[in-house]
Amino acid sequence: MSAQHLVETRELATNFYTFEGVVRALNNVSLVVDQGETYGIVGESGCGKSVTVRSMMRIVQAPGRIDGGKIVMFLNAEDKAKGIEILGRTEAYMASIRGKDISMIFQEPGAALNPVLSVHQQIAESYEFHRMDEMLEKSIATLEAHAKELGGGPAGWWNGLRKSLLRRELGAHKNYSARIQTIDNELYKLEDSTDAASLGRKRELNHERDKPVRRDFLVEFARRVPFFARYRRPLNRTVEAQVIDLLRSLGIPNPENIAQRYPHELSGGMQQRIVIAIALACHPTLLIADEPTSNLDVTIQAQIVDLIRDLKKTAISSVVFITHDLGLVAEMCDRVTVMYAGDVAETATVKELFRNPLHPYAQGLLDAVPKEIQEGELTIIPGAVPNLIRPPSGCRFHPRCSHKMAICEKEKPPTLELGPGHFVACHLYTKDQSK
Amino acid sequence: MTDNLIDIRALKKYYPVTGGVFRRHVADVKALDGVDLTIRKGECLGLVGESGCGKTTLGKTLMRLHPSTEGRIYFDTAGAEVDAIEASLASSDPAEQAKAMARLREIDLLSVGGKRLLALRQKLQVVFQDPTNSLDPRMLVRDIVAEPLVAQRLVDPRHIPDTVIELLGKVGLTRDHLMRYPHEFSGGQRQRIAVARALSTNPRFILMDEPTSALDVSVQAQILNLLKKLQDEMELTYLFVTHHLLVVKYISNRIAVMYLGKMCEVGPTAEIFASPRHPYTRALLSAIPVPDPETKREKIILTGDVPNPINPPKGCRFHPRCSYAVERCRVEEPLLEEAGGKDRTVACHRWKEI
Repeated sequence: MSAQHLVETRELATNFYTFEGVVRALNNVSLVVDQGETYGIVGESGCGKSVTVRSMMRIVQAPGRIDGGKIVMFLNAEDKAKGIEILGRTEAYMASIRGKDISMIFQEPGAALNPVLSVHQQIAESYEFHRMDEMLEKSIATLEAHAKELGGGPAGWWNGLRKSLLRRELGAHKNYSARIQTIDNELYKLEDSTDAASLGRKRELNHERDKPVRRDFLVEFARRVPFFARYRRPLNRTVEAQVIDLLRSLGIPNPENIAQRYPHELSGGMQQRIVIAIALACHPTLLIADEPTSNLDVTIQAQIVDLIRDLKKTAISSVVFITHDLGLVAEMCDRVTVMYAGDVAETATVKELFRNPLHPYAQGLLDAVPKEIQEGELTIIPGAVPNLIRPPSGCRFHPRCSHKMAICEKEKPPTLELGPGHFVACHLYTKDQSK
Repeated sequence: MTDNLIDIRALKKYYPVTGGVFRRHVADVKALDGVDLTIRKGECLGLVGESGCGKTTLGKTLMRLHPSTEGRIYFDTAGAEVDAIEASLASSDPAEQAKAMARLREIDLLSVGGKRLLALRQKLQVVFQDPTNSLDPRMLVRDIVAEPLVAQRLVDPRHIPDTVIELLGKVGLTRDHLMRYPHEFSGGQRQRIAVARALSTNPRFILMDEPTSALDVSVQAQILNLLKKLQDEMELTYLFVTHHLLVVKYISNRIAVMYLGKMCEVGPTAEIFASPRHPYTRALLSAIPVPDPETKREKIILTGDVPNPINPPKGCRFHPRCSYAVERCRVEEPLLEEAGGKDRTVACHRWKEI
């Protein structure tokens, strides 16, 4: 099994600086998501599932801050060996990969969608931001196909003007992308160097990278003058066609109508589909689904889960699926990580985890869920999730653990590989190793 | 044969929709549209269905938190008397009907008032979904749990502290928790306080309105076990409203499945899970994610969403999403009928065929 890594977090630590104190939300979390797999993260609320993926996207909200560790993405096909360290990258760089290479589906579709924009506008944004070149080229092609029918005269002249304006815009856009590309390449080469000269160069490049898009003068002028601004209509039509195609491919009935509506006019399931559509607009390599179905009904949940599973086969490479529902994990995922209070407790393939959970918390969690065939009482984990401002010392699970030993209070257990691909962080197994 | 504790007959609850400048009454949201349901003594009846199907409305109407539009609810009335009243209501003789109505005003949960209602309220209690919202943040735990005792004047004021401590003990809290505010507790403990408050009047029936949906998995198990234990100890009857089907399976003896203000199927838990008769129940059960990666089941995936209850589909309400629907389903509304086996009822025209 030599699967290609896609995202790796190493010793990631994210803290929230609140008035009550520092919430240590992630306590050195290391995860590896491989290419082509569905990766589950389970745990109770407050265990750091969402913070982990938000850190991966670099969208941790204030007062949160990523204080340590590394996040390496292997998005570039050529440089598979090295990967990109995203924590040192500029915000502009992050914006260019968010939505294009990694996208995210949020828990509450009602909150994720903008209430004052129509569905069409919200999906189109993604095309206009990441795939402008392609959209412009397509619009020019349609105008060219149209030119023959129109022939000469004012209509033909107008068509020609539109075409040349769109071409200029395309040219300006390509120049800009090429410049960004060279900057990114240079930054990538400089990533590991630490001497003063290259650090200065890095700062310079980052500054350059953050500068806004500079468009062609004529294009800028035409966009601001109402009459000439109409040259962009073919572009809008191209984007609209793309949006409707996308909605149709997600199995949304009557996409032309839905595209014109506003989020509040749609049901919860439909809203979640729109969120998925926005996430998938640019065919991302990695889709992060943060509890995509917890607010939906079982039957709608089944629809959405089915949709994500189908998309996994056709459109996207890997899915990170966050949930607290162990049933969903069993159905969806290839590998799972069980998290507890900001720690990774156990990582294994789904079958292995459900058959042979090793960490006491994973065992307790699996026993606490009502099964299809439930015999006797549910076994419980006593106590509640700890407050992470003053997390328990050593292993954070020790106050609730039935196998507590003296060492658990003092030391954080190391992560050990006990079977092929089966990692556990628990002192129960460290003891065995030292013998 | 166990007696019925609560007998709901033809219960309707319409929420008016107003429109226009004069806020005229233009339509109704038919949240409950003729619900018949019996809850037996000492059982836990699970009420399941999607959001917007009327589960919570049924619960709240039952507790008289909302006025009902139509219908009758008998609380702890002998089966023979219920039948007699229903028969005279259905008869064409006006004198007979008037007599029944007079009797209803004394016993019907939906029409009694004054002292009688207060007395009944003592027997019916409720635990809500989110303990953060159902407990007053400015009251001490001691006052929260004691409030029903004071309101109902059940206990001598001098004995109230002792009673409260005893109640907290029942739900796994101690006297140390007495002088604290709800925000000092975790979600699971808050739900325990809500349960203690519900138990304070020594009720016979408790409505559980999604008591574990706001809780974490490990805490949910604690609360479920607590509720089961209390039911055995205090001979309680539960109506357990939830959308989590495995929880219902774990805790309830019988299940009632609702869809868009109507009952689809009622029956013993084990039998419904083994052989669901209504196509909606089948879809609902097949959609449960099973926490076991080794079993792969065929899923029935329903298309579309729950229709708008302002204008529900004609005939069987489920027909636009049902794969077995025939012409008859579009026209004629199915009634709850006996469906193979003891106390199983189904509202479907084609349950025998499918």
